[in-house]
Amino acid sequence: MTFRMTEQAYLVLLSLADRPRHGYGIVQEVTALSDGATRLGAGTLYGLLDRLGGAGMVEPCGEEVVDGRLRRYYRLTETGSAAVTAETARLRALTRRATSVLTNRPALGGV
Amino acid sequence: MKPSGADVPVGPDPRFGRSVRLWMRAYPRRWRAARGAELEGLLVDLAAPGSRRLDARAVVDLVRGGWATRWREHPPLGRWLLYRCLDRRLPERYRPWAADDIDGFWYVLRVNLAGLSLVLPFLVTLELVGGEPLLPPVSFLWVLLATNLLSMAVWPEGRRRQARVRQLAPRLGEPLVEGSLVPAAVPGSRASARSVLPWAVGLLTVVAATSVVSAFVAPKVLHVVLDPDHPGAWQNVVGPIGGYRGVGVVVLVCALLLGLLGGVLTGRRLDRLVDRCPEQPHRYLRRISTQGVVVTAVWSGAALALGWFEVTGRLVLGAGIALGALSLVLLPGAWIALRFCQGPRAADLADRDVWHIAMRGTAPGVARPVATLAPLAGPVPDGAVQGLRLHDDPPWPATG
Repeated sequence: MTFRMTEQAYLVLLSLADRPRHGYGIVQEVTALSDGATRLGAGTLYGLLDRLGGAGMVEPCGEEVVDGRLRRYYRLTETGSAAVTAETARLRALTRRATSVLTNRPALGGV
Repeated sequence: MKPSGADVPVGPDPRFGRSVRLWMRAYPRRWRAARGAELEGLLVDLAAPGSRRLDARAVVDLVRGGWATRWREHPPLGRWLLYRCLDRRLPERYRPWAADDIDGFWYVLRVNLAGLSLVLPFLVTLELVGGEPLLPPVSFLWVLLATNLLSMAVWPEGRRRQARVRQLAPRLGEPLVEGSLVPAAVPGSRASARSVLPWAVGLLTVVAATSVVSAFVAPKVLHVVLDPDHPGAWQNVVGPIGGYRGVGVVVLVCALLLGLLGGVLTGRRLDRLVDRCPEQPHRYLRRISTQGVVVTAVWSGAALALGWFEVTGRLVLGAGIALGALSLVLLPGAWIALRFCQGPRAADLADRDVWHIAMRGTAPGVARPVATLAPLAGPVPDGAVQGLRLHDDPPWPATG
């Protein structure tokens, strides 16, 4: 089954790019990266982690118990790192093309 | 590189955990076992301090995520139909789903209804095409539903055990991983005599008392009337009980006398043989199962119903006397065994041991281990596959 890179999946991969994080850390980092536009719920996050794990892009890398709560940490795999890099390049190219289109468009009201 | 924990708030009300576990049931059982604690921890972290339950948005998100997980792991429709209706084995990637299905509370009902769903469309089609009334009446469907619900309590574990062997156990040449179900000999469980005998005495008492009441009150009996016009022919006619009441009472009294003799014999045998019972290394004792309690209650209810029908004349006196006689034969022995098993010498007796001693007059043998399926303990070597395995083989898989 092919993996469909959604915006939420991309943000989760991006949140793990600099260091391993547990679920709550991922939710906070995604909120920060999206400037508050994306707030992941727990069900959504674990659905994404299941899909990303199934595609070999993230993997658990340890756990700890804090205040009686289990925290499992996740990190990017090489596949995941390559996927987030490729998606970032795609978005950068898209941004460049979009900027070019917006710069060269005729002035509003023109014929 | 140090993992980031970010800012973690203090946990809310403990009742919040119960709310989380309730809604987390949207996820498959195996998923909850593996990651439930982690998900619960995240939900506690995300909740506002002082929260007593999940808010509506979190509930919707959780239920949607749980059902999406179930959907991802669910076999395709064709495979699922073959599995459910024809008991065909699922491909390996769906075995975890099958394990959840088999362990589920409603498994037996699902299987029974699947079998029914094969028959009903056939009957509907025949009725529509042929015009003949083939569908059973609604009252029959209610009885069918009640029977199916009862089947969930009676022998459900046996049905599951069979299904695990068919669906989950790796077959010859299939890969083995940690947790794969492989044949194993494990200690079997038996109900302790102490926990079973009170229920047995209760059931026998209900049946015996009902039959005694029936014998004295039932108004009708089945008469055999010879046909004078046709030599050798007879008719069965329902009529007043008359002198047959005495016959019923005499049968019950004889059964009681026989039971008293059996009771004395049972007491002596238990006293003589209980200290000769061998150690049972392959068996452990447990309390009577829920299934045993349900079966006892069902039989008690059936005996009471039979007595009611005989006393009100809806049924002729007969079956109640037969069951009552059997109960009166067994009741004194069961009562004496119950008194005996409450003592310190009978702490290790199983229900089967008491039956063996009472009926055969010899000490029971050593129970054998039970052949079953058990999860394979790790680590399992890479490339391990299920091979032909004999009873004396070590519990390690073949590698190839």
